[in-house]
Formats: sequence, C-alpha cells, structure tokens
Amino acid sequence: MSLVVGGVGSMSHTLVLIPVHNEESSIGKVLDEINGLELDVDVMVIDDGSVDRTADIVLQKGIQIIFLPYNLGYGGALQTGFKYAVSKDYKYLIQFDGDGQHDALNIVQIMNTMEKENADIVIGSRFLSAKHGTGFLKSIVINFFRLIIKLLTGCSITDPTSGLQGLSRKTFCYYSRMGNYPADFPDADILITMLSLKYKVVEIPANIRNRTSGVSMHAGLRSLFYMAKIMLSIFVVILRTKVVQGGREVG
Amino acid sequence: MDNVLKVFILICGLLFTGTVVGLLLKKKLSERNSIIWFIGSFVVVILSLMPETLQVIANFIGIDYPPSLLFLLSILILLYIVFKHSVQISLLNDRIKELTQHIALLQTQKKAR
Repeated sequence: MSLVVGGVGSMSHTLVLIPVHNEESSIGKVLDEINGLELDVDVMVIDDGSVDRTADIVLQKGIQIIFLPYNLGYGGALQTGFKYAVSKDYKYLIQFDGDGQHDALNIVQIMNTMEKENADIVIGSRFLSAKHGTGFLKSIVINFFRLIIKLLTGCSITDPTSGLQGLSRKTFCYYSRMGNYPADFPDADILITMLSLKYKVVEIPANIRNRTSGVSMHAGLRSLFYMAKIMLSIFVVILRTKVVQGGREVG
Repeated sequence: MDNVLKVFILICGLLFTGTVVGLLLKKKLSERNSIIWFIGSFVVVILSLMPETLQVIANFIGIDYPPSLLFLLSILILLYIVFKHSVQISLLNDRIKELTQHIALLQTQKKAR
C-alpha cells in the first residue's frame, strides 16, 4: 500500500493537481480532456477518502494518485498536493477540479500568464469571460467577498472562489506549511493573506461550466454559514497582519 | 444589578474576549472553534452592559432572581461546548486509529523489502 501510485516518464516543470472526493461520474472525462491536449504537464490526483470507483478509474488511466487515509476536505487535499509539489521540485502548479466544471484549455492560458507576467497566483475567473451562470445566493456571496477584498487590499478580484488557479513555486511552498492554508474551503481569506503579503495575483478569463452531476459543496443555507466562517477567517487575517505590521513598526 | 457587579462582569467578558483573540492570533485556536467562544463572551458583555435585558427575560421565563438566568445561560453554553468537544474527540480518536494502522502497515511493507 504505497502512498503515491502510478505514472512513469520524465518530469515536467508543471503539476496539474486534481483533488477529488467521490467523482466517479466525471473524473474519467476530466482526465481524458487533459490528456487529449498533450500538454507538457504532470497530473496528480488526490483521492480525498472517496468511497466510490474514483480511484479505480484514475488507476485504470495510468494517472498518478495519492490516497488520503480519510477525508480531509478540499483545502487539506490541496495542501497534500502542495507538499508533494515542493518535494518534487515543481516550478508551477495548477489547481484543477475533478467535477468537470473546469476547461482543460484554460491550463495553457494560465501557464502562459504565469510565465509572461511572473505571477504568483493566476486565477481563472468565470466573470471575466462572456457567459456564466451563477445562482442568486452565490452571486450575493461573491459580490460581498469582492467588496471586502477591495476594501482591505485595494485589489479587484472578480472571482475569489475560483478553484481554477495557477500557483508559482513561491506560493505553493508557502501554502504547504502547517497553519498557512485553510483546511476546508480556501477562499477570499487566503487571497487577502497573499495580497497583504504582496504576492502577485493576476486574473484571466476562464470557461467554467456548470455541474452536470453530484452536489455542490455549498448548497442552500450552507452558503450563509460558509459566509460567516469566511468572515471570521478574514477577521483573523486582518488581526494577524495588523499585529505583524504593528510589531515591525515598534521593533 | 449592582454597579460593581456590572463592571466586574463587563471586565470578565472583555478579558475573555481578549484571550480568545490572543489565542487566535497565535494560531493556538482554530477559527471554527473560536466562534462559539466569541458568541459566549459577546452575550456576557451585552448582558453586563444592559442588565435590564436580564430582568426582562428572567421575568418572562419566570425566574425570580435575574442573575440565575445568567448562570443558566452560562451552563447551557458550556454544556453545548463540552458536547461539541466530545464529538470532536470521537472524530480525532477515529482518525488517530486510522493513521496508526496506516503507518504500521507502511512500516511493515518497508521492512519486508
């Protein structure tokens, strides 16, 4: 029972990281889509305690996979991938969802933007592209976070919740350390932290499709608890950055 | 409520809030776990500033001695927190067991090579 399974061949500079939890209905298509583009990337799936056939499908396709002993949550699964990327000397990392909402073509654009603009974080924003369908509640939540980010950092981030992101080595090294990354749903709070630490964040338009199957992580009333939780996270981020700045000024 | 008592409870509430904030800053307490402590200390501070509220609610429920309501509330909140802790501890135990087994099997595999 090894932790990392599958995959052969020479290493690329870029790792595409796909955290999954019970995505048997979509993971096959997602992997095919990425493979079909024949990009110079390595793909790593993080199986976050799936109980369906997700892992079997990934192994069948010969894609590398890390098995987590139990469900850690989206942030925990991503952080596992960051630790792996750090140990394997990857230069870039692309976060990609296994539910079919992300378009593999955007990987190319993210990679190009990261190199060209020397960015630390490249966000694929659904709001910068022509069409997008977002639920009413979700719109309120996203607009709320946009406002908070603008007020606290002066930056306009159109899609703070986007899971389609490119990260530089500097960024994922930071994220990989204990206590530096949210365990459940990294969102506006981690963006505010990175912006406050002066990391370069760039957004590009991305084609984000709607879920065809399964249940969203933030259905219904959960959105409100989610908002409260992120607000508290942001409050802590502000406190920590202010204290750090205050300490520096005094000392 | 006596003024001295009012001030005393207010100071307690503020000190407590300060402690929670301090722990949060030092990353010794996670955001999730701090929410309930914030709510608790918030309730205490509000009640100490507006003890009339205590009187009103106490009368409504039928409690003769308003501070008893404060005790009742505190006990209920603490009960809730302790209960949540039991749930968290159960989960942690399960996870530790899982990890222990995982590591044991890995080490055995390693030695077998």
